[in-house]
Amino acid sequence: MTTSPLSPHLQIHKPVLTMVFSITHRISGIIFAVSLPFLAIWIGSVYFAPTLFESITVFFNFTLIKLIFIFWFFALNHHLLNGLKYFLWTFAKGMELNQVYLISYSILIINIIMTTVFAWGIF
Amino acid sequence: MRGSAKWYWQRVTAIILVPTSYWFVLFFLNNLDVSHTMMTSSLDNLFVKFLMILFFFVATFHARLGLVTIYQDYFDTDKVKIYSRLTDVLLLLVILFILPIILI
Repeated sequence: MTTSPLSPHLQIHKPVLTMVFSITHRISGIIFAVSLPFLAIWIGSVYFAPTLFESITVFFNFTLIKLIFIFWFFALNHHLLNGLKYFLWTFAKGMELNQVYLISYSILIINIIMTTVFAWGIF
Repeated sequence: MRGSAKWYWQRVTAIILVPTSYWFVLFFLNNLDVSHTMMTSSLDNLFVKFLMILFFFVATFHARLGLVTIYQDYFDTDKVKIYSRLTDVLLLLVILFILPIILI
């Protein structure tokens, strides 16, 4: 049935930094992929359903939804910044262990700063 | 699509998505609490329409490559096929929702 080897179960990995950033890269990618249809409905409804657009606007401005958007931005930002790290790796740059740690912690700090700015913008 | 082609397009689309997703986030923040009339005028701009369609097309393509890679890592071939088709349908809907903005 299976033609290619499957990844081992996640639980058997020791949660080291590179593994945590790798799995959160995938999770944040899934989060953004799932949000795409909703964002498309929001933009598309401007043309095909003005009343739906007005309802979505009301919905988007609930505090709880805004908090979810802050988490959404954090995930997107994590995926983008961490993706740049993988792009460096494509050219075999930044692969020394101390560089990996420095870059990964920088990603987290830059993301927290940017998400704070985003949160300030959304409220 | 061959593995190397997927690997290549994953990176090409990623680079396009760096500026376009931040542009989308800014558009999102600026238009989060606007009326329908204001949103229509925000979208009534050739540059905005171009960026919006570019962002959604490239993000859809990038998402498909990434999601299928994840399916292949954790599921057997039969499930990969089913989940890939389901993903195609969802992402096709994204494109169908976005395209009408050309007409605004």
